[in-house]
Amino acid sequence: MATIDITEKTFDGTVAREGVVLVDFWASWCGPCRRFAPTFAAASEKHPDVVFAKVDTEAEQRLAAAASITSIPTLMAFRDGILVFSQPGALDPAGLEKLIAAVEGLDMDEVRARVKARAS
Amino acid sequence: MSEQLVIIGSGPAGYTAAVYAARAGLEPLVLAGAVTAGGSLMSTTEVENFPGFPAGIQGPELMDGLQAQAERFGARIVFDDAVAVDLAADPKLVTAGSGQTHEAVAVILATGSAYRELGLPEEKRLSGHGVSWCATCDGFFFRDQDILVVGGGDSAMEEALFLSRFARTVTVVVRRDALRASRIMAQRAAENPKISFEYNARVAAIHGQEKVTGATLEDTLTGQRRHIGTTGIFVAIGHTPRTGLVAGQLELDPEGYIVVAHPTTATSIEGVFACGDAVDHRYRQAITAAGTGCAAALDAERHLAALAAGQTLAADSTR
Repeated sequence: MATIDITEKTFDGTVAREGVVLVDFWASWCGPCRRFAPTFAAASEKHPDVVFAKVDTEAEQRLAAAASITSIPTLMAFRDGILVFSQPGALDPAGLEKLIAAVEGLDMDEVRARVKARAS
Repeated sequence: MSEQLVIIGSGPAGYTAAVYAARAGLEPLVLAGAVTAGGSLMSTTEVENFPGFPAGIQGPELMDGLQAQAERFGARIVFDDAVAVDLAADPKLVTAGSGQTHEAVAVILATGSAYRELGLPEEKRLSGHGVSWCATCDGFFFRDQDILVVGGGDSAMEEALFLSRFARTVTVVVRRDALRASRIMAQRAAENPKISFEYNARVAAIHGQEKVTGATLEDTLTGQRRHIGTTGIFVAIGHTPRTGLVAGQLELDPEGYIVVAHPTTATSIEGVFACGDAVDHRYRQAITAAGTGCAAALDAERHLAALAAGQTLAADSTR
């Protein structure tokens, strides 16, 4: 599957779904973002079951601010609508594969229990 | 896979070596780096002093052009890292991040340098959360904020000037009592109303839980400390050579730079050549890196031709 561009309007709907959603916060002026883009795109072809979303932080400034972005590229991972990973800095292909495997291997009952415990 | 020439690195040095080697018909394999391809210029804005661009050129654009130029002549560019090398072996072995090991008759090292860190405990934790090494990447997110730039050289001035487009104030923290920057850059920074200077000062601590909220500045003469509120700390205090890959195999100087037999690019191992910022801690310019990249390709070409002719050449007689 190819990557999809998302906006402030479509962000919540995209990340709230079941399964794994990766979000790449980027901008055209950012060299490291440009280097990471092909890695992200290649991984999207390898993992048709994962959503690979991109946020152009220049066009989506309010969304970037709401997500507390202060450095790009920042990669976030959601599983079943829960934010399970957020880290600035470009990953290499092996690092991205490792992240996807780790997110897919999460015990979501445990994650949900932890989220609940933190909220209460 | 057996290669004539493997080039490790893809800044101005690596790509220029690739252009020359490819034009010489060596079909070089370039391990351009998984996340570092293009080198330091990928995080700069306008390059004003690269000859031939009177109006300046954006760093990433220059690197895209160099990459395309190398590919035009048949260089094969792979966006992967070299994770291990055996330079003493015959042929030489270069293992990529993918796990694939390439055999090579000659190797050019153009691994460049990495940003030097302040070495503070909070620096890593808050990296990307207010601590940054890339003003062009992150400056945009510090609109109307008060930020620090640490360093007194040209790259610090460049960062400060770039950040002044977004920030409310930019305070440049300089260890010594004067700037190391070139006159033109120092003058531009001094004339910018948003930029001020703290001389004889160093960042002694960085504060903040989730994000940077402030820093402790220490007067390097009196030891006096004071708190300064800031949301962004941009570090530009120089570089360290990225030569860990070859440490223990090649002669390095005490600071870790690769030693070459000037004026050639020959290293302490025959058939291994080095260029760019991994060698040069004196000039460190895009054009000098490109120049040594060219020299490395010519040295490698000569070495390969001599081998093909059944001769062995001493490293220092290649010129």
